[in-house]
Amino acid sequence: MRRSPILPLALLLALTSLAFALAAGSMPLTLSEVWGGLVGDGESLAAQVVNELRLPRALTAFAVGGLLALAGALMQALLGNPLADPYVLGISGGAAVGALGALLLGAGGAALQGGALTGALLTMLLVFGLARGEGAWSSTRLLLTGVVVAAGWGALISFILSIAPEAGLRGMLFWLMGDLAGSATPTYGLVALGFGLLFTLPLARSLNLLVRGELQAATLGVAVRPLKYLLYFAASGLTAVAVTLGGSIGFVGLVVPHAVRLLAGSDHRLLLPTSVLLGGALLVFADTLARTLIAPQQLPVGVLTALVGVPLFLFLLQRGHR
Amino acid sequence: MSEPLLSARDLTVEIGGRLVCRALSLEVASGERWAVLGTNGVGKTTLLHVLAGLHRPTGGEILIGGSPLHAIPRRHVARRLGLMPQDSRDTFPSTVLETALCGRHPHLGLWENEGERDLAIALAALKAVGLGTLQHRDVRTLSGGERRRLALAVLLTQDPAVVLLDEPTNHLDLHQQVRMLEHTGELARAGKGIAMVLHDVNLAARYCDRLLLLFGDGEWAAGPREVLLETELLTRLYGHPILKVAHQPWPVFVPAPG
Repeated sequence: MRRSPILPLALLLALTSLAFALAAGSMPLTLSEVWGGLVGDGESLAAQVVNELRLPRALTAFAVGGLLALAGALMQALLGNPLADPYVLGISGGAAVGALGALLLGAGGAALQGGALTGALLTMLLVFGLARGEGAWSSTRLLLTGVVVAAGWGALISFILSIAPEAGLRGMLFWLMGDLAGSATPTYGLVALGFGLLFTLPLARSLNLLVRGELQAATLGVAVRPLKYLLYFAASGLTAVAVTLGGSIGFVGLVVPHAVRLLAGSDHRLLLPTSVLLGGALLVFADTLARTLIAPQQLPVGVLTALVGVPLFLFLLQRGHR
Repeated sequence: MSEPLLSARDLTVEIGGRLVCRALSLEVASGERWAVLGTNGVGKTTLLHVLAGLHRPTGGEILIGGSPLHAIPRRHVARRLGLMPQDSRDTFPSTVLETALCGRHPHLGLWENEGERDLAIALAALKAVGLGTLQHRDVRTLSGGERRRLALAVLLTQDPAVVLLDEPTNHLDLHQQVRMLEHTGELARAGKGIAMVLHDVNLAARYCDRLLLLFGDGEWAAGPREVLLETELLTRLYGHPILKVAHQPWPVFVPAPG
C-alpha cells in the first residue's frame, strides 16, 4: 500500500468544509462563536443557528457527498468502466420518478423521500433481475440494461414535468438538480455511509484485482461473482440513500473518485475512504455556497457541485497529463 | 514418483455445444512442462480455464495435490495454482510495482497489508523479468511485450506450484519469446508443474517435454514430445500438411507449401 499524505489532507479539507458551513450564512459567525455554539449549553442564538439549522444540513450534505463518491468508486470498479457513476444504472431516474410522482400528488416531506426510496429500490431489483437472466452476468449487459432503464425513467420524468401544474414545477426542478434544503436529520445518511465504508473497505484489495479484469481477479483468489453481487447491491443501496436525502446530485460520484486516482493512485484501500472525505467536503462547500451566494434565494446544489467541480477536475486532469 | 501437482481424470469439456476434449486424463508433475497445441478455436484457452477451476467441466474431475479442485476455496486454490491470462486489462492508473504486488493477494488476510517481505518478493519478480527499473511506471504506458513480462512477474509474485500460461509468447518478439520460455525452464527446475498454450509448434518442441494435442471434436493425444512430434499427427492437428526438417539438436516443423 502506497504511503500517501492524501488521507489526512482529505480529512482536514472535510473538517474545513464543515467549519465553513457552520460559520457562513445570513448570520455570519466567527469560528469561536461556532465552537461555543457546538459545545455550549445551547441557549444563545448562535448556538441555535449552529445546532438546529446549519449542523444537520452540513452533515447531511457531507453524508450525501460521501455516499455518492463511494457509490461512484464502487460502480466504476464493478463495471470496469471509468465513465460509470452512481446514476448510470438508472437508480436516480427511478428515485426521481418516485419523488416527482409524490410531488405531483401534492405530497412532500416523508412521502417525497419514501417515493424516492421506493423508486430507487425498484430500479435496483428491476435492473438486477433483467441483467442477471440466465448464466452470464457480464458487466456490459448490466451496463446496457441500466442505461436503457435510465432512459425509460427519463421519458417518464419528462412526462411528469409536462403534465405537472405550474406551481409545482419549481420544486420538481430543484429536486432534479439536487436539494438539501428539506433535510431534517443527518443520522440516516451518516449511518448508511459508515456501514457502507465498513463493509467495502475489507474488499478494497479484491477491488484492486477486479479492475484488472475478472479473469485475473479469479486466478488470484477472488470469488468474482459474489463480489460483483455485493458491489452491485452496495453501490445501488448507497445511491438510493443519497438520492432520497438530496435529490439527484450529479458530478460528485463520477468525478471525485477520478480526482483521487489522479492525486493518489488507484489503490482502493486509499481510494474509498479518501473519496468519501473529498466527496463529502465537495458537497458541503457546494451546499454552503448554494445557500449563501445569492441569499436569501437558494440555488440547487447540483449547479454548484458542477460549477466548483468542473474547473477543479479539468485542472487535475491536465496536470496529470504533464 | 511423488503425487502429481495437478491431475485431470476423465475430463470432458464442452463450450458452446462443441466438444473440446472427451475423457481426458493427464497428470502434471513437478518439473514438467506441458504444451497445449491445437488450431484456433479448438478450445485450448477453455481447457486451461477449466484446469484452473474457473469453469466447471461437463464431466470428470480435477485434482490439485490430490484433492478435488472445486471443493477448495478460491483463495486457497490461488496459493497453489496460478494462470497468466491471454490479455491483461488496465482501465485505471496503477504502477508496475502495485500490479506485481497483486500476486500477493491470496497470501494475505482480509485486513492485512503487504509487508516488507511481500515487497521484496515483488521487486525480485520484477527484476527477474527485466522490469526492475520500471517499477514506478504507469502500466498503461507499457508496451505489449512489457505487459506480458509484467503478467509473468505477477505470477512469480503469486508463487504457485502449478503454473498455467495462456499464450505466454503473445505480443513478444523472437528474442523476448525465447526469454519468456527460458523463464519457464527456471520455474520447472524450481519444481513447478507447468502447462502452457502455445501457437508455435517449434517453441513447444524446444521448451516443453510433454504435449497435449487437441484435434477438435473431443479427440486428443497426450504424451512425451518424442512420441507426439510426428508429421502425421501434426498434419492432422493443424489441418495442413506439415514437413519435418532435420536439424540438430531438435527437428523443425514447417507448413508444406500449398
